[in-house]
Amino acid sequence: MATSDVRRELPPGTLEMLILRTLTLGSLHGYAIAQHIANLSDGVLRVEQGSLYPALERLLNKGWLTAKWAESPTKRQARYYTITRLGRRQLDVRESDYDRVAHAIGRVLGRA
Amino acid sequence: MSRLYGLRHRLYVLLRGDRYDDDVRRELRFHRELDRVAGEENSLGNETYYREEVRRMTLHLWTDRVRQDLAYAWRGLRRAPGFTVAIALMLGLGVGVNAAMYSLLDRVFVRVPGGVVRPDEVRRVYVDLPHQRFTMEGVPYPWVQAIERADSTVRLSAFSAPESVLVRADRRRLSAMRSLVTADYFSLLGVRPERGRFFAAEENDIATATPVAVLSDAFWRRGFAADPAVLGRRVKIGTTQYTIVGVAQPAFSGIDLDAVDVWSPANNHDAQPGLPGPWYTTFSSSFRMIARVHSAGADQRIATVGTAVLRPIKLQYFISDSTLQVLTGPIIEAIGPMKQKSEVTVATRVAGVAVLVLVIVMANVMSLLLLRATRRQREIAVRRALGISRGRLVQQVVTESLCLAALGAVVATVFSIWASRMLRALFFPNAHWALADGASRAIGGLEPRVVLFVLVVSVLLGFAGGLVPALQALRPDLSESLKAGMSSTSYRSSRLRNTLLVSQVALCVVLLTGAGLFIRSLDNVRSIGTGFDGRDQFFATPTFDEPASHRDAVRAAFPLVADRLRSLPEIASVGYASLTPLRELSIHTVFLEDRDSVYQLKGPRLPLYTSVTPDYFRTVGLRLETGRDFSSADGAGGAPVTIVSARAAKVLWPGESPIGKCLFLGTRDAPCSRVVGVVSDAHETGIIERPFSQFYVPFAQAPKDDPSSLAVRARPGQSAAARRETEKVFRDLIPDMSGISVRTFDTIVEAELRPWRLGATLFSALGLLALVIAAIGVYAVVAYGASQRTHEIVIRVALGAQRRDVMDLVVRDGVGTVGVGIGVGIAIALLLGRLIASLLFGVLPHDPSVLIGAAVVLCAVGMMACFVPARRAARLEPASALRAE
Repeated sequence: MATSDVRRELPPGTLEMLILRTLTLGSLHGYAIAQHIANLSDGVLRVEQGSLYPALERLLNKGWLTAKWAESPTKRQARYYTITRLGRRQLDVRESDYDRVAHAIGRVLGRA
Repeated sequence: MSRLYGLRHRLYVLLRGDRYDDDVRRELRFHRELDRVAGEENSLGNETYYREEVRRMTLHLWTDRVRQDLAYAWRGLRRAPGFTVAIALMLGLGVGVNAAMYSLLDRVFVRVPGGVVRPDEVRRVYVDLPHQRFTMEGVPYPWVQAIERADSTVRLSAFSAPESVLVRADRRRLSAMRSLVTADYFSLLGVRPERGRFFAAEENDIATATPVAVLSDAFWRRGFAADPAVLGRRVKIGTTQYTIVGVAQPAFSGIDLDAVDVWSPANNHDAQPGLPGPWYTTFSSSFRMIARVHSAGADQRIATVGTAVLRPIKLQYFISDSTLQVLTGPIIEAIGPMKQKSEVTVATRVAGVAVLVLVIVMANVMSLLLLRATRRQREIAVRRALGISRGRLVQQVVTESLCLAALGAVVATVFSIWASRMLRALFFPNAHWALADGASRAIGGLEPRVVLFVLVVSVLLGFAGGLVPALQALRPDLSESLKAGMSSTSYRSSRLRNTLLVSQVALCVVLLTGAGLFIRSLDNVRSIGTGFDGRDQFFATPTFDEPASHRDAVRAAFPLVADRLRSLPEIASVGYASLTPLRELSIHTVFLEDRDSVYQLKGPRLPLYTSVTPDYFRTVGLRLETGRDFSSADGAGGAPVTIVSARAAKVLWPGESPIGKCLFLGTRDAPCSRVVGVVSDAHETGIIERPFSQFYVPFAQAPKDDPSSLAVRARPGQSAAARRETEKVFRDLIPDMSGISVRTFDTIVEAELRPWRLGATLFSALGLLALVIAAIGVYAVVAYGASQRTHEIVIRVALGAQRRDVMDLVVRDGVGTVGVGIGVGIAIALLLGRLIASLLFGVLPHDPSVLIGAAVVLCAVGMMACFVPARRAARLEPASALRAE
């Protein structure tokens, strides 16, 4: 399995969570997902393309996403990803887990 | 539902790899282009590498998991070889028996005869006689002709039931099944000749016998080593030389279960001696009719037209029935309107039993897996705590049970080959079992359908067998399982486990009851007297290669043989008759003074007729009730005399003495034949029959009759010597006979017992199998219970409990469950009894002694299964057992 750059930087599963969250806005193609994450995080979280697609693939395998070819605004064919119901449920679980952990870490570090 | 998207995606990658590659390539190209537009460097790097990576991940996720699960399952199974082997064997036997039954029933009920074109259009045509509650499959040729002529739109053909004949080719004798067929037979069915031809139009002319023959492919291979020069060769069947003109296509062997080896034109039918007119105008021929229907109304048309033309036809020796009705049925005989052959009925019931055995196997395998899962609760709890998901866990457990099922499938396949061979030989020894299309013949007895059956059933069982225990195992609370450890949990009896055990025991009771009922029936049938006394008695007939040419010699020899044998010390008495009992019968018209012919009277069934020599009754063991036996004075010149059976006397002259009454045999203007005696009733057609009215006349007064076989009664204990002498005398007097055939009542009756013997054998075999499996089940559960209670037991022992107390403790649980099972089983047996009631004889399906017997056997076996682990528990040494904790 791919050990990607981002996974070394982000806690495991974080990239997936970000992708899922991004896709709650609507169907997007891979490039747009990467752009969105980079923009929202002020360029801090740079998603290497080399880890983006494997992550998308993992999510497809789990049935949390579906993929479909469609026309992009530039009249080009692009592969659009859509979050499934199961994906949304998983996102909720992950986010609440993340919140708990983040909160706990914050407390330990004396910042909460 | 979303999970399905994932599955779909994985399948897509696996199955449409090329298209998926293309997807990824296009997607990455798109990304790169956008990168370029945004002025960023190409961050994708080696594109091929990522493509491979993405693709491998999908496959990996799958294959890795499967490989992991398989390895895990294999480790688990190897760790408990006894358990693994036991389950594989049980599954194998259970599924194998069912596969064998499936292949049998498939052939009888589902598979259409091979080689037939559009078999769904082919109909068998029957004649139903509602008055006599009888459906005729074979009808006299004049009927075939009448229907054929009545409606030119009906395409009709006919064939005679396969009969066993001796085919002589050069010096070899081959036994074969032959069928005579009318003009259209092969073309109606759409069968092709593989070599040569079928019958030409002029060879089908009914009035002139044309001695040509077509061989089946199988017979061509068996009898003629597939010799291509077989066409034009001559073989002898009976007294006639036949020329072989063709070989049928390999798939075709007739349309009945019994395979046909040789076909000849119908005009080779033997003329019946003593009947007026050629055979095709009399009642004596028997042909089965087939028709091909093209339109929806055709069935109805055949029925209407047939019924209309057959009703007015009067045939000699046929009791006309004004309610006669022509019926059509499918080409598969077993689903037609004929009464099922008892073998077929027995086969369906045995198949039902096989399914029950499978249910028992299933219950047992499930409860064993359940025990195993319970035993591994701690392991499972640890794994869960380490973060394995429920889904993965279930996957693993199911993989394990699928592995078991696969092992079982291997056993089942091997076992089914053997079992189906045995079942075929038992049920339908003469049937043709090759596959419909000759090209894909079964390899080593393996039929693709049967293998598929085994696989499907095994996989289903594997899933079901694994899933239930897996879900059960997931239920318990994690922390409790971890804390409790393996051995000190108090023994909680699971409801599911008990249900499984109860159902095993119950079904086992059902099977044993079935076996008991069949055994009782067999006994009952066997103990019916036929009226004859078969001890020290046999029938002997000289055999010839060409019987017809020796008729006169045989006629002349019989009295001489009888005279010579009578003087020998080994022999008590000798006689002969025109018929051999239970093998042949002859129906005759009998008229009474001032009354209608006998068969139209209400009481008696068809009047049967036999001509016998003096002493014949004594020889076969019939008693003279009143009057006298025939004597040498009742010769051709003497006054005509008759002896009637007790049944005939009672029906025709109730309350009167029959002696001296006048009968007219054959026609009303025959000379009066006086009744001189009454002889005890005897069976004529089989073991089970209502008595017929029998009329016997002196052999000397029946000049048209031929002796059928010589009845010989040996002095007690001298049977073997008497047989030798009989053969010697026959050989002296008929030097050119080819041999002598000897029959006893036992061999004649044996064939009759077949259905019951079949039922008794198979029910017993399957019942025994079920019993063993249920015993294993009870043992496993009780032993498990005991092992779970080790702690409790040793403490009790330490506190002074005696061995007896410990054994009571362990046995009580198991025996209780077995008891409930027996009760439920008896209830089910009572409900299901109706299904086999028609197959039983002289015993009711709820026969108490059989039910009690089955219960007692199970009780005993159950006790044994409980007793073994109980004794082991009672022998526990408290100190060492506690130390082992």
